Amino acid sequence: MARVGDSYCWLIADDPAVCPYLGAQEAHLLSDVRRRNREKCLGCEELRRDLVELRRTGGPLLEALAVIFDEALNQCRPMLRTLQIKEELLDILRHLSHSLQLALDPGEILYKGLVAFTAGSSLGFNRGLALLIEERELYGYFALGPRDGEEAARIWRAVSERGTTVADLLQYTPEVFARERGKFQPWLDRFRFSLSDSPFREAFSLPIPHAPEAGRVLEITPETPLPEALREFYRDTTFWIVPLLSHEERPLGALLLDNFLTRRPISAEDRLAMELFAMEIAVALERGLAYTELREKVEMLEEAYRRIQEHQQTIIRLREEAAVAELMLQLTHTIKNPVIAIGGLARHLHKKLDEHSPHRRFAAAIAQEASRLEETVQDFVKFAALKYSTERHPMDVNEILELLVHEKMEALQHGPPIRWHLDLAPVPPILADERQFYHCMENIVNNALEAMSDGGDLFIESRRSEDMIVIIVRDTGPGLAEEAARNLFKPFFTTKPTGSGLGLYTSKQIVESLGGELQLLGQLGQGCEVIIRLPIPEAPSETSAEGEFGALEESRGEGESAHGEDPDRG
Amino acid sequence: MAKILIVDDEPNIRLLYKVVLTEEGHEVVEAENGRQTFEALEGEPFDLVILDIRLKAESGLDLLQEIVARHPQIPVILCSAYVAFQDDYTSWLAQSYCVKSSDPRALVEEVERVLARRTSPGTRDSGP
Repeated sequence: MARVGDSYCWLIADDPAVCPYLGAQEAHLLSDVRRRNREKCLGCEELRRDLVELRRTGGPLLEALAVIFDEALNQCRPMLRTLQIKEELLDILRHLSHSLQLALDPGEILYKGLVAFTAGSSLGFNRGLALLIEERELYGYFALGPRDGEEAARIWRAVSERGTTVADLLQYTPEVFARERGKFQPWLDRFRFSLSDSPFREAFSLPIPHAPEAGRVLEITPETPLPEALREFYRDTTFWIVPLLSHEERPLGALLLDNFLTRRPISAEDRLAMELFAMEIAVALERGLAYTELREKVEMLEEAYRRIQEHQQTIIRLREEAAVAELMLQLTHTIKNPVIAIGGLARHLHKKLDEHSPHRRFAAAIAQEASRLEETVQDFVKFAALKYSTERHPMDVNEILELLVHEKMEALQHGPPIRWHLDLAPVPPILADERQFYHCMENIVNNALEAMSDGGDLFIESRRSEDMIVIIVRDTGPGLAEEAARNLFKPFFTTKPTGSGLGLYTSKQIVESLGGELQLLGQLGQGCEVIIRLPIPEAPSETSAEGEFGALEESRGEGESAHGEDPDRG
Repeated sequence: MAKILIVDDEPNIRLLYKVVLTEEGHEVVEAENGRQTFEALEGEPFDLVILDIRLKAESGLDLLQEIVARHPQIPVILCSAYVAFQDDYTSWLAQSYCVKSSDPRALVEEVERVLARRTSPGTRDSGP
């Protein structure tokens, strides 16, 4: 239709003949010309042709046309903008929702949450701050955004230049997270607020029953009383608190959002969007926190299980060792009687034989060899008894060392000239069996002294090094050949003409039974150094010595005479 | 000079103790088990018993209890290859104890000590 007489179809009212494009439901547009123009004519080919014609002819109805277009445009512009924003909002929400689906790490979840709140122009907050709850307290966990206008300009420029999309921004990496968090770390460290303090008390009691339309977003103006750290952070900036609640309304944390640069207020629609975002984040956060807790519990259980297994292994090993030791004790007992008879009778024979008898030498040799055997057996019994001592009392390492040095000095009064160098720093007590530990140190000191049969310097040191006690015994003897150093801790290994070879082995075993380590340094010609490291017990407590090795306990008790009338014996 | 009963199931240990103690001027009688011990103790008076703690078929400590019960006036020196027996309270019934060694000096000294105490009147200890 188009031209109708000297008028146009799009100017004529109440004439069904002028427009064939109206449907049955659109009869009302016949009389309402303006609305018909908006809803139908703007997209109509007839109108376009008429306009071209009118422009060419400069007809008289231009004025009317201008009116129509102005009106149409005025109405479209805000609608279009709203539509764009809503589309973007939906887009962000869709991305957020999608991206949070697989996120379990609270850091990742809150990072993405704050990206959603700050990205684009829909909500587009300048800054976001995430607080998490720990034992009724909110603490600063993460913050995202520029620290000042300059940084903001840089970020915004980079985003627009690179055409960064929301999906790009939602890409999470621990590095980006750490970088962003680092920017605000000093502030985050200061943020620790009670849930029952203002403004969080109010934020978590939203919505107020008599004003449900206010929703869950709490606006904090510069006039609102705030904890000092928050006031210093926000100064004269208005911000909004969005609580994060679990599905059963348990507080999980809160997001604090502001527009400290653009000063943009928020609309009622923004509030709804904020709640929607917060809900999405809270669901993921609840799941993430539960997962984290579960994972920690599982790790704890795994660790406990591992330790139980280790413990079981140790028990099995100790039982086996104890069984072997018990067997060895039986064996030594069986050996000892014949050895005593051989040695004793040889001794007697030696005494009885004429001084010039050629057999006297043989008797002496038999007696000597028997003595050696006897000594080995005795050492082994001692070793087994000490090694399996489960007695543990708090004791001072230095006291034992002093006592040992005192005894050795006395015993060596007429021996080779030894210069003793004692350097004992105060150390905390360890849990051990004093007798066992004395024996352990005695073996080491004896070893050093024997290495200096022509005299020398003996250095004994103790000191604390972090959570360990370090004891060093150093001699100026001939040192050790490589092979000897390697074998020194093997049982029954000895470089000496006499001795059972159990000394250092026993010492090492004792140190290890106390959870420590024994190290031997030494090169041929450079003396020897024994370094013992013993753990300091976390809290000195009474540990009960469980008689796990009952069978062996009867072989303990050397030195502590139970015999009333003869206490010196043993 | 004293009369000493040696109770040990090892014949060579008995032999050793016998030569050593005989040399010291004592009269030595041997027993290798409980039965022989009481046969000897009931047959003649003894000044001292040296008792091994581990006998083949029986416990030296049980035997000790019986000796002390039946012949409380005779002191007993308990002997063992190692010192574990000190932890057993029953061993306290013995007058003394001695760790076996191929060097018999300790045993000889112990014998002299116990005998010396015995000859001075009223010194039979009641134990701890």
